[in-house]
Amino acid sequence: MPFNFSRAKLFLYSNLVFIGGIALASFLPNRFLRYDLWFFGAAAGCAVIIILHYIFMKATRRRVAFVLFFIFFLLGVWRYSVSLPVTGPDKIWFYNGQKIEFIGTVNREPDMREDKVKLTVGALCLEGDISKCRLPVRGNVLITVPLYPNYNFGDTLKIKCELQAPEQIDDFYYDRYLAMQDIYSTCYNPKIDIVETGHIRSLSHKFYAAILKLKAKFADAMSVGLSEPENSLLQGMILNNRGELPQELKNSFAQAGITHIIAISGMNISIISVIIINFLIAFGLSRRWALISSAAALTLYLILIGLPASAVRAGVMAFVAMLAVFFGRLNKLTNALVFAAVLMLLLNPKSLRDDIGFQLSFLALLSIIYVYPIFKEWVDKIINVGTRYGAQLLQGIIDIIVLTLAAQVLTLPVIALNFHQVSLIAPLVNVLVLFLLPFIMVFGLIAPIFSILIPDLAWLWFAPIYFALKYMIFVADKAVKLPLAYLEIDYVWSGWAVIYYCLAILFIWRYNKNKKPDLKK
Amino acid sequence: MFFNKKIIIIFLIIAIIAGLGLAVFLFCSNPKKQLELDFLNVEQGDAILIKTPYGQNILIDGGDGKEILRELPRELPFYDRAIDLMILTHPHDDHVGGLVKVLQRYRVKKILYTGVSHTSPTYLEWLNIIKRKNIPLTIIDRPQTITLGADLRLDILYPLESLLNKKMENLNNSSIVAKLIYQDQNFLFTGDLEEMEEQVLLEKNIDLRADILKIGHHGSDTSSSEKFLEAVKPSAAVISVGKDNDFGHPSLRVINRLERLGVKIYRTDLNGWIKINSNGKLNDIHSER
Repeated sequence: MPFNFSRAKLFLYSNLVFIGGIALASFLPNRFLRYDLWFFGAAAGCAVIIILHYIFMKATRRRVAFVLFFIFFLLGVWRYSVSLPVTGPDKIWFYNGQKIEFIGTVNREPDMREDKVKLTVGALCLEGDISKCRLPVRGNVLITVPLYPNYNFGDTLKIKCELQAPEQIDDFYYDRYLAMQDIYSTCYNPKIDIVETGHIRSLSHKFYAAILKLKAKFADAMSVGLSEPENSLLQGMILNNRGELPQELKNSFAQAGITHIIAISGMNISIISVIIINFLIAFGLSRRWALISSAAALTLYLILIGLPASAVRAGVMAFVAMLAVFFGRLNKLTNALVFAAVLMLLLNPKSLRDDIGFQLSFLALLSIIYVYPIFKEWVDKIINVGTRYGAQLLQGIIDIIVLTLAAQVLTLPVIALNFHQVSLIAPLVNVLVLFLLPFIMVFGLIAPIFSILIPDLAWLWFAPIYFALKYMIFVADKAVKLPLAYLEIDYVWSGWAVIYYCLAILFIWRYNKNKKPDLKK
Repeated sequence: MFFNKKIIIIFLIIAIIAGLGLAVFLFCSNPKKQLELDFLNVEQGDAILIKTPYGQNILIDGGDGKEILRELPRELPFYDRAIDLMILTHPHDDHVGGLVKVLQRYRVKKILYTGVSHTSPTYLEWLNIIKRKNIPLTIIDRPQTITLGADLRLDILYPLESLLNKKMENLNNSSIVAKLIYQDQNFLFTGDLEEMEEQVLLEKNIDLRADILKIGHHGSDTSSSEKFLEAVKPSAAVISVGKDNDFGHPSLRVINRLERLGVKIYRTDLNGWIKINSNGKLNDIHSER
């Protein structure tokens, strides 16, 4: 029978269909999605049909499989529609456009910028006191305040300002970007009175506040030990503090094609965890225990930097990478990767359409799984490093170039659509820079500890990292000045991206299909 | 596996090379015995770094805080993370903003200020950090001399009386005025001091003569009166001012006055950063543009 699915295939297709449901829902007009219960009801109905089939009809597996896919599809649509905000007088975004006074608590780490701070405030109360609230409200507000005075996580504030609904800025969907973080109201330059500071209500908040304090200690140590812009670069790479990165640096890194090292990307974290695994194995631990304990270390690290969404995603990817090292094969990982995507979309279904980081991470990993082997095969045919002197180094350099090129294949349309710049020099810059990454990641975590212990010599502990970072900035700065280092793209019709992906999928499919008979021989 | 002994060896080699490079660098960069003044390009605001021949770093004001952390590392090597003396002339944001950031990131050993009353959040944060880090704080309550070396001293000329916790109508007039004297050369820094108080200095017959003058209040015509400029008689003047600022600084009138007196003018909005090297006899002035 042509449609008899193996269990692994069934699992894969169910996941894909779920993602498809979310994708469709993301682009449907909202009025279709108001009936979230209907989708859930339909899915439940299908489930009942399957069960009845099994009991009474002994249905063929094929038909059941398709009904199962339909269930997952509906569940995908349902999950997305549930995530949409419902409005009402108990929600803070109900008051968008009005001048109001409300009490709320800073419920995320303040986002420090060069000349301002962005605070996410969870609204608690619209009328009356904190202890005797007459009109409790819920929902987050993003408020923009001057650098001083300082507000911290957990501070309860009385805020008076005009709430605004976030809007699209040029071609940047600021509204969608904030919606992804569960924010539907913003306000600028509010009048703020502190109601209470440091009073933390729940245990988990207390825990989080303690973590943020520890993280701030690390950040302080870095800023004492390093001058600018090296300090903000290191903080971006290790602690995910990207707010104070100078714009010129961001631009030159984007044009040089190494932005992925500033963000805590899957790659950064994968590197750390692979180092830890190898370190532990060198100490005589079994592979299994090394994997488990490095996953634990990875979790600790993610907690240290305050569990930002991008880093959690990177952590999941790193775990996939660790599994790859563990099993030694990349192409078995499609299921794990797709399942990871489903898990993350269950947590936040809006990231499929609106989180560029999410899209780039998965496309890059898909590229590595599917495109990299193809490129590698071609290159191996052309260049045979053989056993000459330095063959390993040469192989390593070739691998990095091939890997960056491969990663670009599937990420290219997303980059072109969103950033309007495509780096052509990226493979070269990556070769020149990437080998420093493990060194910086490891020493960047050790140096702050040393300089907290012996603060007078802070500059010395950071000196090696200083030179590494300076070199990185130097390479990026010089590389983007070369002719044709990057292309500026004004506007791309999004249809081209769709066509591009269809062609890419077709090509990969054909290539793998043609290759299979070879293997059987 | 991606990482093995080789990687560790590479790490070690990098560390050793870095260490050696550092040692050679420190050995070779034997500082010349001369005074260096850097008027940092902090847009609209003042920030002046003085590197004395005796190795002290003195920072007078810090701009509004957007530029200072980019400007300082260019003048201070990465291993020099200490400011020996920080002077806040007066607590307006375009002078104190950068000092807050410097306090967070550099080791500041001593601070001079007037203690005048002001309630802007930036100033309060500055005081807060000083308190938290327990940095020695000296209040300037009368003219005095700070000896920095055998042939180098800093004369504080103004304020004439204690302004501690005093509410001023015009904070500019609480500015610390200081004169740096290195052998034969004099450098006068006037903060944002305005005409009325310039008059007071003139009446007190204080020796204002200087070779290089930092023009008061970013070249505004509320400062730098004709008589004051004549008393100072500088050969060159520096105006620390931002490009296309909202205040119309520097005033054409002040520029004309300076030109009439034959003073060479350097402006941070046109010239970028301005560096003055002095051997005590002659001053050598460079600028970014």
